[in-house]
Amino acid sequence: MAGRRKIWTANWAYKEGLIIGVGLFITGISLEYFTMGRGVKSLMEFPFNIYFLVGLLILTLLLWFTARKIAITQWLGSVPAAVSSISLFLIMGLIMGLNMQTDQVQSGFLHFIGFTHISTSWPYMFSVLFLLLSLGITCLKNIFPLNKSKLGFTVSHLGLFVVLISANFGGSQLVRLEMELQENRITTYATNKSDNQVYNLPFAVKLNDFILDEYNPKLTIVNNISGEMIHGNGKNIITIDSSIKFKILKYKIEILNYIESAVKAGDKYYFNNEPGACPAAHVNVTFEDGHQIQAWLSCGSYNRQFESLKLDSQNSLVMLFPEPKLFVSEIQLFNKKGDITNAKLEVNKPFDYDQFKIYQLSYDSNLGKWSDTSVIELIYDPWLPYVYIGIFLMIIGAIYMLFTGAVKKK
Amino acid sequence: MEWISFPNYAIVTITIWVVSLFLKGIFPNNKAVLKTADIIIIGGIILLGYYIIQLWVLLERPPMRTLGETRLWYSLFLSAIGFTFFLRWRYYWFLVLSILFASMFLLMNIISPENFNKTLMPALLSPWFVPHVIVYIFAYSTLGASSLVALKLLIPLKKSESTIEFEYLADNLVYIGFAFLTMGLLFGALWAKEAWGHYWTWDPKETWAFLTWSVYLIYIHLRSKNVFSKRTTYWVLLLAFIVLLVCWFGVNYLPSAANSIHTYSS
Ligand code: HEM
Repeated sequence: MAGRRKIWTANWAYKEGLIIGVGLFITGISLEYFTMGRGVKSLMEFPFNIYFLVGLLILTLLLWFTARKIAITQWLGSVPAAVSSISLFLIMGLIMGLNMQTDQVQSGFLHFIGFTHISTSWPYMFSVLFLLLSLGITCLKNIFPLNKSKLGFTVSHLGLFVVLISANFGGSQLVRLEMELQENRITTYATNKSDNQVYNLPFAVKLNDFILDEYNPKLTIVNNISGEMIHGNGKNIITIDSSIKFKILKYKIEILNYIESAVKAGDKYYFNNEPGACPAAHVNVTFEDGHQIQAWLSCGSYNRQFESLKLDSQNSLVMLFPEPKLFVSEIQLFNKKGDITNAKLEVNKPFDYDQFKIYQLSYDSNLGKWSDTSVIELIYDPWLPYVYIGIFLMIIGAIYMLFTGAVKKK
Repeated sequence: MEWISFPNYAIVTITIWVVSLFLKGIFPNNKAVLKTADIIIIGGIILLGYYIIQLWVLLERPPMRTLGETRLWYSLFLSAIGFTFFLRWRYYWFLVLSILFASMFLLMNIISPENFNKTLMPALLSPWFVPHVIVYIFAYSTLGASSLVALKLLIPLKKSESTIEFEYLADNLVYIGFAFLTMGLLFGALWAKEAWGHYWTWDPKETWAFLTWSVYLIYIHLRSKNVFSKRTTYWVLLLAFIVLLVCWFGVNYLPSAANSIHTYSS
């Protein structure tokens, strides 16, 4: 085993793995340091990402088809190389998992050695190359000739290879554009958030309607002096459902009337649907000594007064702003040919249009459901189909693994 | 609206589980007692499952949003897996450990009750939500079970005892758990593309999910060729579970998670 064999002779194993791993790590950090933490972002931009990818694929194929017998090729397709390269990649993940990552250029040693932007840094790039070489050779080894008994894990390995390649070499081509739409207006430009450049789109978007659905608001108690919620880990936050009775702290509360959309007239609230109308509830509070009070509560809105109920010198009962349940933009898309497409954008339901996936992103949260602004996002990601192919293969591999289970080893 | 009393369900479940384990331990040769105890254990599992269904109906959404809610599923799966493997392999110790861990998770929920909150933010309203979480929790339970086996292998009771069966059991649990873990991770990626526009952003939760996945991947490859000592391999398996726990509970507390989009809300 490793211990009894002279290093760098046939059958490389873990010692070589350790040295190569540490070597790549130090080289990566040094390169990063000498380029002042600029990373590989600009190097990986189109079309350079393609050159690097083709270079890597050719290297892998050459190693396998012309130099199969040399120690390094043999080793790259072995378990020790797999464990070493996965470990190095894992260390990259660990740095990302422990140190906050940002897009901003910063000063300081951690930035200079790439630790604040690992996924675009030299050490990460090296670790990806090591992992892909090892994984690539492993795939080739099991495909030429095809080892039928190992079909399941060949599919896993191949799937992961495809995913890693597309994500790491294709990621730089992803474009995210943000677009702010106004109801009944046509917009033709969008902003790239990474560099604040404005683009003219080959199509126009019109927002016909923005719809926001909310959950019923919640009631809770706040301290009069500190103004803090006494939420008791959420125990004291109660959602209003049509006429209910409940107890918060020592107060028995009954909802006598709840109006989803109301405005105040005199000292009462009435149903109304004009902009800014807000939820209101008529409550009855019974105190420990048995006396009762009744009052109207409302969380208010951008143009309506907030109304709480002072229970005693310590506490008040308040209504919280309702949380959004669903928001939808009904839009129309016009292209240069004159086609009109109607679409409904919803969180979790993007719409595919002209190379883009279009997402519902946000709205004017000050106005809440009265917002007539909707922010949408257009995402262009030409490598996505390959990522999906890889993911699909990995899922097949995982199902295969479920069925076969482990092999008994002596 | 009245809350379904969680402590009542949990205490009944824990009590009958522990009682039946004792019965099994005290009367290892009495067939009738063993059978009854088995039925009681299944009863506990069903009771817990029934509670979760009721909660689902009450909340009008899948109870998978908060840490406390995922702990419920964990208890359910861990006890069910423990019992199934007990039926298949007859390891009493395995049943005891998995039931004890399942009970511990229920106890944690009694001690720090969480808000049973109905609201679900729009990003969670997706057909991916249920499969993603169920597959993950199932993976966590199976992998949790595999670390119990790793513990057993690191603390051999009898010197002469052959460990091959246990190694096989550990490998099997890891393979099943890892297959589910992979699917959970991939479902998450597919969902993220639909919800946030990108399948992978190295968000802290994603990063830790990846770390967890990698440590199990290393274990699988280490096992395929026995180059290291077996003890080292089982330490790796235990370490993997610690990383898993960080991913599950710890991420919220890490400085890197300050602007994570998906830490659990409480
Ligand atoms: C989806 C992820 C992966 C899965 C599910 C997976 C699974 C497996 C399995 C089940 C085996 C067979 C073990 C045995 O025969 O006992 C194996 C072998 C192997 N894996 Fe992986 N693996 C994955 C990723 C990787 C990666 C990232 C690398 C390299 C960087 C790698 C390199 C290897 C090598 C070199 C072998 C030995 C191949 C042989 O002997 O022909 N694997 N893998």
